[in-house]
Amino acid sequence: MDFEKLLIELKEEIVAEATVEFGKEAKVIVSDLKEYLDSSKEKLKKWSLLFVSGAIDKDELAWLLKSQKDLLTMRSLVKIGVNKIKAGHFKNKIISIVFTRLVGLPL
Amino acid sequence: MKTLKNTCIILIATLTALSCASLYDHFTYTETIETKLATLSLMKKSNSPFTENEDEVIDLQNQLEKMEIYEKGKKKNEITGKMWELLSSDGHLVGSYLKLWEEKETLSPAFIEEAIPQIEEAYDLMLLFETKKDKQSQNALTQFINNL
Repeated sequence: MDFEKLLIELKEEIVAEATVEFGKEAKVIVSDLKEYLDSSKEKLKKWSLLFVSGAIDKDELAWLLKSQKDLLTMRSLVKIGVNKIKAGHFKNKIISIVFTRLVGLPL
Repeated sequence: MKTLKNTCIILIATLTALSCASLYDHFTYTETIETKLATLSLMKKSNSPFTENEDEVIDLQNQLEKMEIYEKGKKKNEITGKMWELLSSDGHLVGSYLKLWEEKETLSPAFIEEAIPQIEEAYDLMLLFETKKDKQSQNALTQFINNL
């Protein structure tokens, strides 16, 4: 199986499908899906070979593909969460500065 | 002047408390590790018939449900709540794995070998996120309290 060719074809198919479905909004969706394909390249290759050799069946392949998408969502959630924490930390720092200044005011 | 200053201090303290993200929760951390170990151990058995492992599956489903309810019940904890939902619901990760096992009765060894690292990574991401809360938010709050 020529996996590189399959990956290119998949990307082209995704772009075409997303453009039909979402028009102008397709850009963001396509970028997410391309990221999915790129970051999952090695796994997709291995899973395709396992499927072709009969070591895993169609349902199992589908579960693996879905799990990879779920993991990408999880990674995004962690990223968002860590940024939120950093923003909260920064707010606290500002409040702490204001607080220190206020405490220092003469009564 | 003193009253105004005190009012400002109380207001700032309240704002600080409200602005914090959910804090590190040791119960969440240890329960996530326990649930991870229970999940991986059960997955390793999924090349044997589902019916022989049904009791353990129910125990794990209950544990996942308990954690999802617990995390969703905490304030400012949407991200962790969403991650538990992603892990346990029927359409995703562990939930869908157990469903597939039930439907097929046994799963292939090659599939189990590929699925385990996927689930392991999901739990590791949750543990990592909990640790991030520890290092950043809790320290910020402690620092603020120490300044009082």
